[in-house]
Formats: sequence, C-alpha cells, structure tokens
Amino acid sequence: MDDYKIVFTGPVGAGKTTAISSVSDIAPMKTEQLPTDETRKRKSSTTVAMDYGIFNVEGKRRIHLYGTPGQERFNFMWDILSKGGKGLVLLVDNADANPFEKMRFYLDAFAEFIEKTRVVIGVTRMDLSAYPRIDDYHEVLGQSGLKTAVFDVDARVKQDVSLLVQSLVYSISVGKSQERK
Amino acid sequence: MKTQYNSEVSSGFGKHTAAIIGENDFDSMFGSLVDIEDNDASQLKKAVYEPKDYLQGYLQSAYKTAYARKKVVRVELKGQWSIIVNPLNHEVLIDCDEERLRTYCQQPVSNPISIEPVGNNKPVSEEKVSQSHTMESFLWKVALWSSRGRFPTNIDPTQQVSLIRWPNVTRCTITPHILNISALLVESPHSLLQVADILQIRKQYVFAFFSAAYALGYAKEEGNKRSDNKNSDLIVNDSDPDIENVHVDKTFKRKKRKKSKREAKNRGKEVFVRKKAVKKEWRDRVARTIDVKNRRKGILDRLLRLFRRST
Repeated sequence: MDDYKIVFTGPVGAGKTTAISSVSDIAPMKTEQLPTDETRKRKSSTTVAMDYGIFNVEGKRRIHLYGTPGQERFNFMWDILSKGGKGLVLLVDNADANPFEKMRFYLDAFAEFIEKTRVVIGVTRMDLSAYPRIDDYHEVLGQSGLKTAVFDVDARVKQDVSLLVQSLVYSISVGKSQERK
Repeated sequence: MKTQYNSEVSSGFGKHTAAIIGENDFDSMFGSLVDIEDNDASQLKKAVYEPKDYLQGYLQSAYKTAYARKKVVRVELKGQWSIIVNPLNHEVLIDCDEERLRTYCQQPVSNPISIEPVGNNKPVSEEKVSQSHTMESFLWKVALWSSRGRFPTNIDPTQQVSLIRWPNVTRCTITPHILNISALLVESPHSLLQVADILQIRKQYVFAFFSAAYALGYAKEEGNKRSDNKNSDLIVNDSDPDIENVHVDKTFKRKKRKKSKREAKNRGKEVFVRKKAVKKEWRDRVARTIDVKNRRKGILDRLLRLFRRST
C-alpha cells in the first residue's frame, strides 16, 4: 500500500480540524486548547500543535493527513509538519474579510514546499459568503501562474474533503509520471 | 485508482451537492456507444455531436446574452418547461423535473425554443420554480446530457487539448474518472484519444468530461487561440463561432424586425396623414384664391355694367 503525507493548512477557523475529522477513517488526533488570544472571540477551541488522521483510498493508498495550527505564533510547527509531505491542502475561509490576502500569505509561507510538491485549495464557508466566487480565486491564482484545483468545500462533508484530497493525490501522481518522462 | 465517494451524500441534485455518476450508472444516464477504435474514422464520426442543435447550444446562448446584457433571461419551450437564467446571482431556476429535462437534452431540438429577457412586469421571485442550480453546475449537467459520451463536432480527438482550470468538482455532476482526467489535462496537453489510452478508460468518459469542460470554457484546443477563454465570468465558450448568439439573435432580431416594421408602418401612416393635410390646405388655399378672384371679377363686372349704364 502506498503511503502519502498530506498537510492541511490555512488561517484560524478555516476548518482544518473539521475537514480532517470528516474524512479520517480513524478517530482523529487533535491538540485543541482553549484560546487565550483574540481567537477566543471566534471559536471555543483552537489547534496548538497538530491534527492527524488517516484516509484510505480503496485499500490502495493510505493518506496521512496532518493539520497545522492556524495561528501564526505556532508557525514553527508548519516547517516541522511539512517535512516529508507530498502535497498541501490550503483551506481558505470565504467569510473572512480578505480571503485573498490570507490565501496569498499561506501560499508565500509554504512557497518552498509548494515548489517541490503540489497544492490544492478548498474554499470553505461559501454558504455564508458566496463572494468572492471560485472564478475569482482562479483569476487571482492565474496572476501568479498557479493552475491548481480550487473547490467549494464544506469541511463537514466527507465527500467534499475527500474530492479535494483525491484531486491533490491525482495531481501528485500525474506530476510524478510527467517527471519520469 | 478509482475516485472514492461517500454514497450517503451522492444522491442529491441540489445546488450544494455534487451528484455522482459512477461507471455503472453512466450508460443508463447517458446511453452507450460501442467503444471506438482509434483508427476507425467511421466509428469516430458516430461519437460527434453538434452542441448548437441541442438545448446545450440554446443555454450557452442564453448565458452569453444574460451576461452581456446583465439581465435575467428566460429559455422556454412553450407549455413544456422554462429555465430562468439570472446572471446577477449566477443562478438558474427551472420549472421542470430533472428526468424530463434530461430526456429533452438528449435529443436535438425540434420545437421552437424562445430566449427572451424576463419582463419587468413579472419579478423573478414570482416565477414557478421547482429547482435551482448554479449556472456553472447546470450547464455542466446539460452538456453531459447532450454529449452522451460524444465530443463536440469542431473538436478533433487526435489533436491536443488542455484544461485551462479545474472544474469545481464538489458542486457539479461527477462523471467517471473526472479527477484523473482533470489532473492529466491540467498538467499537460493530450489528445482525447491519448487521455483514454493513458488512463486505460473508456473514451466515452473522456468525451463526456471534455464536452462539459469545453462548454464552460474550461478546456481548449492547443494552438487554437480562440478557445482560450480568458473571461471567466462569461462562462460560455467563445471558441465556437457557430454558437455565437445564433439562437438568441434569431429571437431578438425577429422581434426587432417586427418592431421596426410596425414603427415604419406607423411612420408611413403619419406621413400619409400629413401629406393629406398639406394637400387639403393647398386645395383650400386655391379655392380661397379662386373665390377672391371670382369676387374681384364680380365687382369689376358690376362696376363695368354701372359705368356703361351711366354713359
């Protein structure tokens, strides 16, 4: 069985822990604590170290899902968790005041990692805020030459997260086979 | 690797759920073509369809018009169904059940379909609606139904094509192998036949996927600049010149012609009435002049008679 390590990242409240919990075939490991900073205004608990889950695809691939903390003060964990990773799932909260700015921030923070691997973007909470649209994300990404998958994702729905992760795995596989050629 | 889905949430056709067509459901949903041999041109001919002959073409025209005019547009087959296209919130409202619409989409259009802006006297909220979709997911689905595993007539299956962007697969109908076809065509251009060959899948899956992606402007032929759809907001593919407003213009132009004829007729009437009035005025003037002349002549005659009598 092939093993893949995939990293979930994104701003606080984008739905990383929820997404891993929805898709994981094991009880996910969480490191949630009561927030002590401004995060407590938004949510009752926040990830301080990492989330972990496993997603089995048809018994052929075992995908290890690692979630980073969203808060920047824990960014030392981002490098640690992305070591050995094959791809990045970036979740962006569409109800945020400036989702593009957040997206750019994380794409920059993981730029080195993305250069060697692949990235897909899940736009969450589009049910609360329909704008910007998926088309707008493609336009912004196109300006920086990124042709990546961008899906409207409900982090609570297994199918949505599963499709996002699988699209990343397919991109990685295709990328590998192209490199071999 | 086969794409894995959660069957519990795969049955809906709602705006926020991706419906999944598995390999087993594909034939019953789209019909089946005998799988095509690469070298057999006659078989490939059978796998072609002309989008503008189907509801897909009409819908693409309606989208284009709706976006260009920023107006709500109704696509209608009188007494059967109507589709309201609202470009302002990127939504489509339908007053017909899915099954009937699917059957209709699979046949070339034979009855006249009208495409016209929704009148100001009837707000969209008052329309009879049984379903709503995003414009993207609806056209995707209609293109899949129309395609039935075939590819658009202007596409050469041996020429390289590529994907400009990934479709929003979590919110559109998922066809077999959608993720690996997308991943392959986003990464580098391939011909449709090559894709089927590389992935070892039925060509119909590739053709159906490509038809839907092409309808939305997400796919292009390599070396064909026209098919590079840069305007993502206008989600109709501009690359097919035959599709350009052909149906919409027919309806709008017909109405425009009628209107201008009516106006011309009215203008003609006005001119006629004006001319008549002018003629009458002239006649009156002449009559008045003759009358004055006659009266003058009468006076002169009377004076002459008086003068003769006195002399």
